[in-house]
Amino acid sequence: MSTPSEINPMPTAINPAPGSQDPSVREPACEPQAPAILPPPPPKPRPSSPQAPLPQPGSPPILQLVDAAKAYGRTRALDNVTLSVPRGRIVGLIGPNGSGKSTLIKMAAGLVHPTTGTVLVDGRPPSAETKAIVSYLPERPYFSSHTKVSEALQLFSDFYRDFDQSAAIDMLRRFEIAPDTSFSQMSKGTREKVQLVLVMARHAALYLLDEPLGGVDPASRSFILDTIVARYRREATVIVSTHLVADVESILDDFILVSYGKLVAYAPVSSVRELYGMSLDEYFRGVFAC
Amino acid sequence: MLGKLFSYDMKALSRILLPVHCAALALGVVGMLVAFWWNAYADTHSMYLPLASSEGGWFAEPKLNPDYQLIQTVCNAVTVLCWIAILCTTIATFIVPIHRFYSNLLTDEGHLTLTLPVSASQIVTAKALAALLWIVIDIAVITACGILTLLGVAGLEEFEAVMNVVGSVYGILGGAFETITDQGVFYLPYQLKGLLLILLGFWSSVMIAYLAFTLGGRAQRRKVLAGILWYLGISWGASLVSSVVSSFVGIALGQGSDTLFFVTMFRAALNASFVMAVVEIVAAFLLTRYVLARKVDAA
Repeated sequence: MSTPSEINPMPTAINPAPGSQDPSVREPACEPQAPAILPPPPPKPRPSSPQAPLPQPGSPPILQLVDAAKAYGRTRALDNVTLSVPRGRIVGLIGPNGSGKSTLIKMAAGLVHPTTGTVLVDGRPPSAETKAIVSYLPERPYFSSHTKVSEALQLFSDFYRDFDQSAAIDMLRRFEIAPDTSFSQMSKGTREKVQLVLVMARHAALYLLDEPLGGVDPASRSFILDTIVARYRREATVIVSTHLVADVESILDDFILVSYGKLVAYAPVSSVRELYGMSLDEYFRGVFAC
Repeated sequence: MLGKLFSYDMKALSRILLPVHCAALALGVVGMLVAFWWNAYADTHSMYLPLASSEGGWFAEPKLNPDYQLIQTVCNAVTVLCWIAILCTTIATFIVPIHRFYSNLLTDEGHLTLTLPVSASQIVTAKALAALLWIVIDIAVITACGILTLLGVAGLEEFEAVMNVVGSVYGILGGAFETITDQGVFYLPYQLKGLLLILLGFWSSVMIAYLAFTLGGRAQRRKVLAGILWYLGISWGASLVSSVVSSFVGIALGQGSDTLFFVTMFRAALNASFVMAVVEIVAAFLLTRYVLARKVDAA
């Protein structure tokens, strides 16, 4: 097996992933049209803590998949995916519904066991030790309805050494969420915000956010993205799984494109504009449009 | 981490089981008071109506007092209903930990529990210990309710006699078989053996249910139904193995003695059930831990 540094080195341009059979997904199937809408705004300058260190040169990738596959009966949710995600990046995991994004995220979080292949987090298979450095946001609420916000805060404080309770309380205050509110009293969007606050209040090495924007209104989406960016630390990696590409594009460094369980592309977001003169959202729509 | 998991599990179970067992104790007190009141009524009222002089004197057949009968029926009914409700706490003590196990690990909540920085071993151990503690509490509450009812029937002055009766109930169960706990450093009083047998039997049922629902969690759909079917299958299999083992042991030990053969068989069966309960608990724990760690995918 290749050493970590040889596995899927950081690409500098869009290349189809090894094993991708369908040439039609290498380029948008339709010619890009003249833009009918304004181009996306330039990426916001990302706030960074001057004290936070950059990832050490040569540090091992935070997440590696080597021929990882997952089958549910006859359905292959992931099909021999090999990739290596370095530290210090915000990566968008994009693809249509049912493409395997959640399965990949759950494998990294240790919730799903690969049928074949290997998943490594910080060089180790998912275990109690890797879960201590991984902060996972599921696509569905995972607190019981009678749980109060204060109890959720206490649980995170009890189990995660890297949990910053004061930061979480501050974020909740800005979202105007009272600590004695129970989840049953909240709307779906508010529950998502609370869970996001808990996840982002940790000083984790790897953040796995599964559809953090799904089911919330556009104003809340901006709020959520601003929270992700505000809490981001340069030595950590954030993987955001979403099909709302236009909303997250501005904060992404790289993207991983999956389709029908296969890895289609893994490249910097800037390379899409350089190669095709279009945004990632336009590229995504073009790949899956026709 | 094990301590924290255990405290969260106990908090979750206590939310339901604490009020249920408090209600059971309250019903035990009600049963005692009903028995006190009935004793007082029976001491001052006759079961039969007084005979009128026109009804034939000494040869007249006495008529039952309908009021007495009605009150007796009502008191008995209240006592029976109290005890049905009290015994429902034992059912709750079985079902609530299993429901907690299922909902905390195999539903959306599992995304939280299974991403905590704890091992599958710690998760299963915490839930097993929380169930065990509530089983102990349940046995204590049922015993207390039994004592209260007997005190109501016999009167408070018979407290010592009532305690001897309760002790002998557990003692009969514990004394029905000879084990290594009858001698030397392994000596246990018969009452304690009887309690231990009930506790281990109850705990093994819960641990088998944990294993069954973990196995059922591997199903794509109808996980609860799959868990129930696994529970029935594993329980049946464990009973079969226990019966076979005890039969072989009994036959081997009873060879050459007609009078002792059936006694030995009986004792072998009880000893086998004791040992099988321990084996079931350990096996269920190990298998649950293995399946949860390596074979179950979060929904």
